[in-house]
Amino acid sequence: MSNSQHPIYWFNPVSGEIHLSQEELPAKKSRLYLVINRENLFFGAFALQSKKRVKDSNILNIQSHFIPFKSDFMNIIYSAEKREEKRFFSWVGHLTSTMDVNVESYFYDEIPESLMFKGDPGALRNYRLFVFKRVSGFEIIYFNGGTDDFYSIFEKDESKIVEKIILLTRKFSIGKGETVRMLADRDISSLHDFRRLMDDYSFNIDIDVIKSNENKYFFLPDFFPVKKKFSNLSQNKQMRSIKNIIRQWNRNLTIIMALLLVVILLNILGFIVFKQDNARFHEKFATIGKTLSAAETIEFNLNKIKRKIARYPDHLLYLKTISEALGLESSLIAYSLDEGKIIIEGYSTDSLGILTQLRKSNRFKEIRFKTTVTKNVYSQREKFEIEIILKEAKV
Amino acid sequence: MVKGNGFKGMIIKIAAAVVLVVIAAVLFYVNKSLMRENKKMIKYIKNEEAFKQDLDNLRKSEGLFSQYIVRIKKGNKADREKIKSDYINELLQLVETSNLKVDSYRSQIEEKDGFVIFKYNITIVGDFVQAIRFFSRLQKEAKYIYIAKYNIELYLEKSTRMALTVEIVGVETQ
Repeated sequence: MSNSQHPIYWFNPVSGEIHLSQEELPAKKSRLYLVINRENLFFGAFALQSKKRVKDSNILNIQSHFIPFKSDFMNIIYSAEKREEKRFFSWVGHLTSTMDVNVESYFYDEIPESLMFKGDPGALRNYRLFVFKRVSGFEIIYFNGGTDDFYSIFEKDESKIVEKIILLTRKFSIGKGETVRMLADRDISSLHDFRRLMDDYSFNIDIDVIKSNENKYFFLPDFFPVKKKFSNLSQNKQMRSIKNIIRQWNRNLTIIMALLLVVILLNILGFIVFKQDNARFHEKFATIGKTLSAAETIEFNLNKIKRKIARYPDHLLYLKTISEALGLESSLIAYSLDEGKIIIEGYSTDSLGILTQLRKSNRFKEIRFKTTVTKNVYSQREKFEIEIILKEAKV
Repeated sequence: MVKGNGFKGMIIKIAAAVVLVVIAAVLFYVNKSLMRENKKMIKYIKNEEAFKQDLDNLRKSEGLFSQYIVRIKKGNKADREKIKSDYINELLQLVETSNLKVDSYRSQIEEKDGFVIFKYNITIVGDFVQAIRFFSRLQKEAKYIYIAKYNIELYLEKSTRMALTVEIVGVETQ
């Protein structure tokens, strides 16, 4: 309830003092939210529309009209926030009709939920009489459930509570033999007048006593259209919400469909353009196709021939490489080329040198002595037989 | 609670939107393939000159390679035998003009990988240097004659004996 943005008046009905929590006073034509904070029974909040500037004396007047409902203290919270609820104010209005301020709204929705919904909502409707102890006396309330009417009396003297109850029951003409249920925070059956009341009048009073440690809260009774209104508002809100969603989606869908139509139109346009272009290109492409086809055939045949020719060894190149490796000191007696390898046979003073020299060439895959190098005692040269494995031909 | 028209309208619009999405998707897919084809053709048309140049180059290469391969007309066995005989005569002529002596020869025709191969096994006797010169002559004067394998051995004192396998690769034409 507290709102630090607005000045808050704290009124103490016992001392009659009004404390302002902030220095700023309510502006002219301002609204005052009068919040009555009451232990155990009701929580109510009232928005008061002021015809002119609300003075402290106005607040006191309001407070005096609410004496029966007055709690130990009440909060008056200024707010500029607009409230629309008006149904409730007829009964409050008659209390404030003589004042310069009118009840504009009752903002039940600002009552803490934890307090509103605590306890059994139906329980309070069973009671017609309420007696509650306040700081400066007792509060006696009579609810006439059928007509939504009520009356309340404040009594400082505990011994006179019974008298007030009798006053109220006469006002509401309780029939003979009727049983009135009473909710009280103290057991008034112990009062000496209570027995007399029961004897003199033909109705019965059942008293339910609220224990002080129960900390019990109740729903507001039916004539406080809180639950109903709240529920209705919620339903209305839901309906409005669904309708709004549908309306919004209808709008969105219309936009989506329009966009889709634009996309389709663009696609159709693109289709026509591409088709025309392709038809135009096809003519020209036909000659290119022939060129490509001819090139492809020639390339295929050429590759085939290249592959075939590459299989034949470049034997003159091999011969040249081998003769360079042999040098002048060596001589060949046999040279053969067959099936991817070359075998050379000859005499040399340095067969290993020939092998090393051949291995330096990157034209051969592998070079090795085929047979053991032999040397004749009558000659300085040794006989060698070297096998050269050729690399596979690349196309 | 909810107005039928609004809700129904929304459902109809959703259905229509779905249909439109499908149509748009189909058109988009068709256009995409058309555009791909279009781009491809534009690319080809732009490169038309390059393709023509490639074709010319390939034709030149084809001409160049024609000296490495012989073209023979499609014919019967007798025609091929005649070609074979013509080539051996040419080969023997080359050997003799290279101061080498043909000791013996054998020839055959093979068909492999779509090629007609004339295969000659020749035994030659002569000087080693002349034999190498003969190889060199083959490479210069008769590029279509390939030496598949050979074996050179010393023969007598200053002579060599050479077993040579040469092949001529031919392609049949109409």
